[in-house]
Amino acid sequence: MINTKYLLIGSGHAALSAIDGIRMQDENGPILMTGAEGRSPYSPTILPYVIAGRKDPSKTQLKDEAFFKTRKVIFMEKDPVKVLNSVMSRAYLESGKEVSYEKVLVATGAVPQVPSIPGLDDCPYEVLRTMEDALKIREKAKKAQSAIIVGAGLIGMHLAEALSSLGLKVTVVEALPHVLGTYFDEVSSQMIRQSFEERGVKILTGCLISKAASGDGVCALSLQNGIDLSANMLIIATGVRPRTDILDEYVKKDKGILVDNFMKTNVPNIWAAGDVVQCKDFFEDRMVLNGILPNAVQQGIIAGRSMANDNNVKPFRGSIAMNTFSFFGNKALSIGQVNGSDNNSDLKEDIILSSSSVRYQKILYKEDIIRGVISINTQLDPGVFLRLIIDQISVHEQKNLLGASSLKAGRLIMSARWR
Amino acid sequence: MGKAYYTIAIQPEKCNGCNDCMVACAQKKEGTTNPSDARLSIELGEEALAKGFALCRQCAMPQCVMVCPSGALRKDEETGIVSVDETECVGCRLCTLACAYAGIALHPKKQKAVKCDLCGGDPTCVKSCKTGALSLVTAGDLYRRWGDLEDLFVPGMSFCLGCNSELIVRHTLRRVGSNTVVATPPGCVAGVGAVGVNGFTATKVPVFHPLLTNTASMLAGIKRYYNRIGREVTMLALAGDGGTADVGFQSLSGAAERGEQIIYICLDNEGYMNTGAQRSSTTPFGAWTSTTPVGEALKGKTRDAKPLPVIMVMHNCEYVATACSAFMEDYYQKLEKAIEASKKGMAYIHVFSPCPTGWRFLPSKLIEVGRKAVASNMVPLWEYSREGESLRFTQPVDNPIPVEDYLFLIGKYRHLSREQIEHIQDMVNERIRILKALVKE
Amino acid sequence: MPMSIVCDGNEAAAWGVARAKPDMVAVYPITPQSSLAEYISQFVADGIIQADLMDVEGEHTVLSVLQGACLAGARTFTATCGQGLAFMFEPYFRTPPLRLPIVMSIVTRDGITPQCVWGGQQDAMTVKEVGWIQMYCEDVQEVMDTVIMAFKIAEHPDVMLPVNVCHDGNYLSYGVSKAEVPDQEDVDAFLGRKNTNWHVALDPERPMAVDPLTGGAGGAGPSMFVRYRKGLCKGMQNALRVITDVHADWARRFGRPWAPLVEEYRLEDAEYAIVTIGSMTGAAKDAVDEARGKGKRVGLIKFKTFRPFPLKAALSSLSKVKALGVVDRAVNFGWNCGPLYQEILAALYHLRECIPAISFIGGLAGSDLTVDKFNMVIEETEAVYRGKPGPTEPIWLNEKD
Ligand SMILES: Cc1cc2nc3c(=O)[nH]c(=O)nc-3n(C[C@H](O)[C@H](O)[C@H](O)COP(=O)(O)OP(=O)(O)OC[C@H]3O[C@@H](n4cnc5c(N)ncnc54)[C@H](O)[C@@H]3O)c2cc1C
Repeated sequence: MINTKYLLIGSGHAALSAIDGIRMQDENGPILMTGAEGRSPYSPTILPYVIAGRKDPSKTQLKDEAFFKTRKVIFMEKDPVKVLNSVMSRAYLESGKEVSYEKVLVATGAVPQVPSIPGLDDCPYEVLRTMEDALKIREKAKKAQSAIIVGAGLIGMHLAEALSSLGLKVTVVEALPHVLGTYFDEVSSQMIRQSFEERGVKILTGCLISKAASGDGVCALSLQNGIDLSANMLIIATGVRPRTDILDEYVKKDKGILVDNFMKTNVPNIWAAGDVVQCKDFFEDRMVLNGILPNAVQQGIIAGRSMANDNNVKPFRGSIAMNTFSFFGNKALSIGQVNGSDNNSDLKEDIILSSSSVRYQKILYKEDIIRGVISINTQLDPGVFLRLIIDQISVHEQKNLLGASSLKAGRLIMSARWR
Repeated sequence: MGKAYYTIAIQPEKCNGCNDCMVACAQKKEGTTNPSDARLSIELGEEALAKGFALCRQCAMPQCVMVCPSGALRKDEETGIVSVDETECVGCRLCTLACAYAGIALHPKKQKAVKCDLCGGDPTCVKSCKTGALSLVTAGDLYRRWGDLEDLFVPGMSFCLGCNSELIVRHTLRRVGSNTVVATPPGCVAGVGAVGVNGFTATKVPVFHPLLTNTASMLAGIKRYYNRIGREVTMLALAGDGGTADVGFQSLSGAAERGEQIIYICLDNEGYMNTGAQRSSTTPFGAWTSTTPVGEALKGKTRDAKPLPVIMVMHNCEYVATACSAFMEDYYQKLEKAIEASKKGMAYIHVFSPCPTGWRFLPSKLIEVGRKAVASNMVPLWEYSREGESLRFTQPVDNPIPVEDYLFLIGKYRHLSREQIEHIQDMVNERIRILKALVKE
Repeated sequence: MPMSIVCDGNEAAAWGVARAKPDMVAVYPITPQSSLAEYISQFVADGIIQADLMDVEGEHTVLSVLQGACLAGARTFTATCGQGLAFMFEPYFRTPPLRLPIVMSIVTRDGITPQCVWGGQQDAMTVKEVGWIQMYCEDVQEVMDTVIMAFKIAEHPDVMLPVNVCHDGNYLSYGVSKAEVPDQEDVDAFLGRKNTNWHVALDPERPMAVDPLTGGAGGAGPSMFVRYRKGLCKGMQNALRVITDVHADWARRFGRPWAPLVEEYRLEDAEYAIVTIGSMTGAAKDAVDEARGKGKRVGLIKFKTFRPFPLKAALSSLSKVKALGVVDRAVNFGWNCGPLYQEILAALYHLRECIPAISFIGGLAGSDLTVDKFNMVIEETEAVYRGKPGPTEPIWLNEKD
């Protein structure tokens, strides 16, 4: 039996950030981190770049040995936890080892969510979450001429760009009316879509799939609207689901592990952070899933500090949707609330739209407080705007400047607030 | 961990917007003279003082590094420099989303993240800055600089365990220096032997007991005479809230009105702590003291604290600030300004001074109490200078924690009812509203 | 050439201040001192006094700023009376033990209540136990001269104590007469170089802690405290000699020989005497002259220095007569008599024989002490001298006005 003060399950962003969080307060308490994949820690976010050939898969490691050494962390790279017994404070590993812990962080991330489509189980489809997935897709793509991607979310669109840049003929099928619906409004979504289409990516929105079939190295999809598609590769990118399978019934879950603002579960010595949790939303009083990297990092730090009894740790502010998205040399950004001004009279928009080029900006206000931003190829500091939103800074006086000269205005407002 | 690393510090008021730093940086990093190629940026706003900075802070726990999915960013554990490995950067821009200082951006041509790397430790921008607005400092530098100053009180004074006032007065006198006359009216600071006992003193500079009532007046008299004979000597009051807000208020008010050149520091421990924790006019609503006890009929103080620092703003002072020992750097900066201001008139600093003994909390919680007082807006930290004609929050709190998160750290509030807490919350909100009205945009 | 002017006592005091060249003057108005504050302010405005004028928010601060300045080395002056003095009492109380040579005029005024803004010596008499030197003046010229002399007395190294120059509200504050303002060079030569803080200073070049806690039940404290107290008493006693010397010096230089401690008037062959203090002495002397004209052998003893009490000088004068009528402009509530009277009784204890004495109280709240009143004082005193048992209670001179 292995004894440890802190057990960190998972080796992604959340777990790695928790290490720094713990060490802020507790310099020496033993930390044990277990991974599942036998690799140095890497980020799922990098995988589309690996597929596109823009990142060498052997150079994706987030932290080197020195990182663990200086922080006195034992990292067991390939020792996945099978079951976590919350009553006994024990983790049972697949290798048969047992770990007895004082406190544990569950940071197991998420797994792809695959919709039930008749015939899909018999098809050789791919998903993208792990390095293994990525390498497989990369190998297959080398031989394929075409691919169908189901899901026009961030991962789907990333993949679409990656595969089309490799020369594949790509078709994206999406059930909702727009691509990247969670992050972009209709105008910007249309702008993005057009860029893809101009480069030969076929995008079908508002399409439900009635069945899937395969044969002869070809996958075929039939859509409910009667269209039939086929390609050498089929990739499912319809979202993710928290990976909660190791937990027993005493840990409260809904769609993900339910945590408070210090990332504590209902069991006193269990914390959870990252894609695996369901936590408070920033804007509304509800518990949400929001599997993005910045949230995982924030939550990891907070969990770590809280686990180490740091009294001064500030509670998690709540989950805010945000992302950067690059496509064919264009730079898109989305933070916070980006829709809803039509049916909610509280919200006002400040829009800059260029008809001749790919350029768009929208700042969404509730009174004098920024609620969200969309930017495509406009100049602003994303982190500064994120902070303006988080801190709910009243920008009444600077509204005009913020729209017209976002970069400068943002910096002026933030600088005035620093020491 | 816990190492003191270098970072570039900016003093906005010293910057004249000449762009030399940006040109120097662009030259070094990009071989151009175009300021927009630089890895720091200073932009001028409409008002003289308004400046927008974009500059990496080389954070201790850099968020840009933590969110980088590509392992391209790293903080050197030796030098503390946060740098980008361009060959490993994929240009995803998550780092730009993580940085609230606009300290990292995408290179427009290379499509890779670029940022300040302190030129390896000897930043060219700092060398190019003629006004001294940019400087290379470490967090540890501050402590070292403070540590290098002589402690002008002797060790072993009889302060209570965990006394906030001890922390403040030692730091204060270190900074203000020995060319000073110190007044410590009756209260904790005098009580622990600052002036001394039976012929021995604990202070290495001229120090005296004024009356509880005339600290500002006596200092004014001393200062005027030194001015008359052409000697520059600093006058420093280290007074409690009773001697400041209550019985000493008249002399303080008169001295402020006349513009007497004094640094007046009020250590507000919210009551007469030296005489056993009786109420003063700065004791907050609901607080237990030995003269606002808690029983069947009475539940602590029934009136709100006198908002003395705001009153002082309206009092012809040259400089007024609030401070808290949980924000030492902030305090040192205010002291700096107070010293300057006291050459022209009165500089008043109201220091929140939690008292473990009289308020009933563990000495180890002192800094936490301070932090939460600020985080809940019970003790907003701000400064006002007559020159700037505006009040400025130095530690703005945008999403204050509820007051009870602060109150329940402290024994003297343990009995509070829901209504009393609501009263305090309302009072805090109202006072913040008033303060905000004094901020000139 | 000395300048001749016609002025009231408040202006005379201001001229005295001007000639003494203080570094700081602090003022806060109160009747009947106000015009003194105004003269000083005007003199500062006109450049006659080149001092820092501290026009502060109250008497408490008036004395506090002077204490500060004095601790830094300044020569200082102020004036007050009545309630102003009462308000000032907290710093007033500690000026002597701090050994600060501050000079302050008390333009004496009766105490409230009843509400009253007129002359009387209740204010000065009430604070007599604190350790300030108190000198009471008889006329406008003496006010001016005594203010100047007060600085020399206060700053004498054997004294180092604050001095009150008391002059009566109304009579002296507003009463006008001719006076001579001495030349500046002569006063400069008379006063010499000031040194107000050689013994206690707040100066970074001579760092010291001023006024640490001293005392307690054991250790070095109690004896140290006694040393301070005895030092103060010694300073007070030294003051008697210094006051005398300074007055002699003044007489030599300026030709005006004021009695320093106690003045005897027509006492050589007197059988009985009346005892006075302050401006009432003028009228009293007239009454004595009248009575002498009628063949009565009456004399007068005037107290100029009341604190420290000039015991030796007092005894030498008192012992010359067989009965005394003591006139006070204030009340000693504890003994149901005038305060000067009570002091005289205490002094008389030092003589072998018992000299009968009557307490007269008059001139309260600005009421007139006329020659008639003193005639009555002389009559009553004479009766006692002739063997009539003296009254057991004070005689209130203005009771039936
Ligand atoms: C293709 C793709 C692109 C993305 N792009 C973006 C983007 O552009 N922006 C953004 O913000 N987010 C993006 N994300 C999401 C982002 O990567 C995640 O939010 C983030 O990685 C979450 O971190 P985590 O630590 O919670 O989980 P993960 O990084 O997934 O780490 C979980 C770790 O736990 C391990 N683990 C699981 N179960 C066990 C077990 N039983 N025992 C031990 N170890 C276990 C896993 O092997 C894994 O290493 C993307 C995700 C993908 C898949």
